Amino acid sequence: MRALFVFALIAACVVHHRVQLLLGPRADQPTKGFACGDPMAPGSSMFARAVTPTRRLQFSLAIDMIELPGHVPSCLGEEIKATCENGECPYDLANRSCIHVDVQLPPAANDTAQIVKLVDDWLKQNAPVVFGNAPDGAVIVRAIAIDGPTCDEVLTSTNILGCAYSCPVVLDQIDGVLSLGLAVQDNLQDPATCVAAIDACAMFPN
Amino acid sequence: MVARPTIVIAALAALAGCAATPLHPIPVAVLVDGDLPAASPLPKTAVAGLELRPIALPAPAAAVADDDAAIITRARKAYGQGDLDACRADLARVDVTKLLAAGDRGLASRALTFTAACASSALAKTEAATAADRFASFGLELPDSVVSPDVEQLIGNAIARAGAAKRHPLAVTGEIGARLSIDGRPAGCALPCTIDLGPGDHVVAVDADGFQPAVRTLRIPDVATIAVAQQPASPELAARQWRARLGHGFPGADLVGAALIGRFAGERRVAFVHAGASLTGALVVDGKSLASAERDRGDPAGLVRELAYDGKILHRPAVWQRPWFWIAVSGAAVVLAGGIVAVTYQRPIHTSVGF
Repeated sequence: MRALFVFALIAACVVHHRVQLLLGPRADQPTKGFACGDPMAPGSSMFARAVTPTRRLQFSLAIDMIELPGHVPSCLGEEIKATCENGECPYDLANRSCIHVDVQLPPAANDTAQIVKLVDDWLKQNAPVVFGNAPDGAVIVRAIAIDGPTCDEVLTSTNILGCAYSCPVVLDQIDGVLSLGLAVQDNLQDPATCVAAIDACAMFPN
Repeated sequence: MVARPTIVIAALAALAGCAATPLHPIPVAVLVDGDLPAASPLPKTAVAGLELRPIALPAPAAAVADDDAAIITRARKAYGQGDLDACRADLARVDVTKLLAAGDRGLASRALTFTAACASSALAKTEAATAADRFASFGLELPDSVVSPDVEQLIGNAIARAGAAKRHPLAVTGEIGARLSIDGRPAGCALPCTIDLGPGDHVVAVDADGFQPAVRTLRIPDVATIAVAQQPASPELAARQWRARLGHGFPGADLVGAALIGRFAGERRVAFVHAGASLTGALVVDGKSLASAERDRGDPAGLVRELAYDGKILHRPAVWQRPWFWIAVSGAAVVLAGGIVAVTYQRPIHTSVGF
């Protein structure tokens, strides 16, 4: 009884924060990391690989917390890469949160932005919580869209549909929206360049 | 389950309680003046380390029947009836010196007046003159009783002679500060004292607290100096003197009061407690007041304890040996810890991540 009381007392003192992940800089603007064209099928999105004949978009969305135990870099890719060399930014695949996305696409939905918006809406409905209690320290939040039924697939250029990540943040200091994105490069319109960028994002820091 | 800090505090408090207590209780007599509140008695073990023994004042001596007044009244009656032998026989039994020593000058005056009257009527001129001379030298005033004019004349002549006679100094020594009275009247000085007296018989009486009264008779100018020794007062007399001092408003345990307590209490250590609006008290050891204190009416044990500390009968516990010290320290520690926690505590943040 006393332990219960102490627990209740401590629980009453806990501050609850909620971080809402956003796949893009704004709600109406999807990240370029989820908008790569398919170099193997010109004019088609990478997500088209995951659309079934019945027009269901089915893929796995892996959410990683990449911990930054020492130096906290800025958002620049150069700094993040330098900080995480030699395995200094561990993340545990066992703790990876995996969401099996299954979105019914309307017949006319071919635009990538529209598809990402549908995915985002689906996630809001079906994955309001992907991590119950975020790590206390600085982390990079990363989302990888994987073509496959599980997140345990070996990541290759062929099954990575998209990738986006956040700046290094301490999630306990945030109570609101956290945008995930990809470094802006002028030539991301080029499918090959875009795929190379999401591959680098998804395989980081290995 | 009792918390560990509670056990530690209790152990320290117990240690503190044991530290100042002697192995064997020290006997202390307790003399109470006034009534202690019924709810706050002083039992034998009321103060740790002391064995309290209440003592009572010796009962006042029974009033002595005033035989001399009856004898003089009877002699006066015999004088009125002309039974001079009976008158002279009765008055011979009256000790005028004793009356004067007791300050009863009125009775002494009547005794000597009727002695002179009866002797004069019986034609015992020398006896009558002697009585008249004593009357005059003692400086007595004539009583209202009716005596023959020749007796009044006899006494009046003696008074006139005494008044005209040259006075002589008498130096009286004895216990320093003792009250001196001459012929039943206060001399207005304390010993050692020199006074001028007319010729004739005189009764010198000295009285001092703590001593038996002493009386000497002497004749001026035959004696110029006299030392009046006094014996220490008996416990009963000391108790009477102490009670009389209280009645006159003197403190119960001032220098003289403490000496009197030492005489009648029969104990080395006496705690005197006066129960008035508050409790006041003094510790008397070997007839000397060593400490005094005051407390609320409801705490006679606290008063005696304080007296024992101040009088060095008990060792006053060091600050750290007192339970309230540890209570205060514990309280301060709790408040400090609470303050530190309140200032430095950061509420844990629970962050959920989702879409």
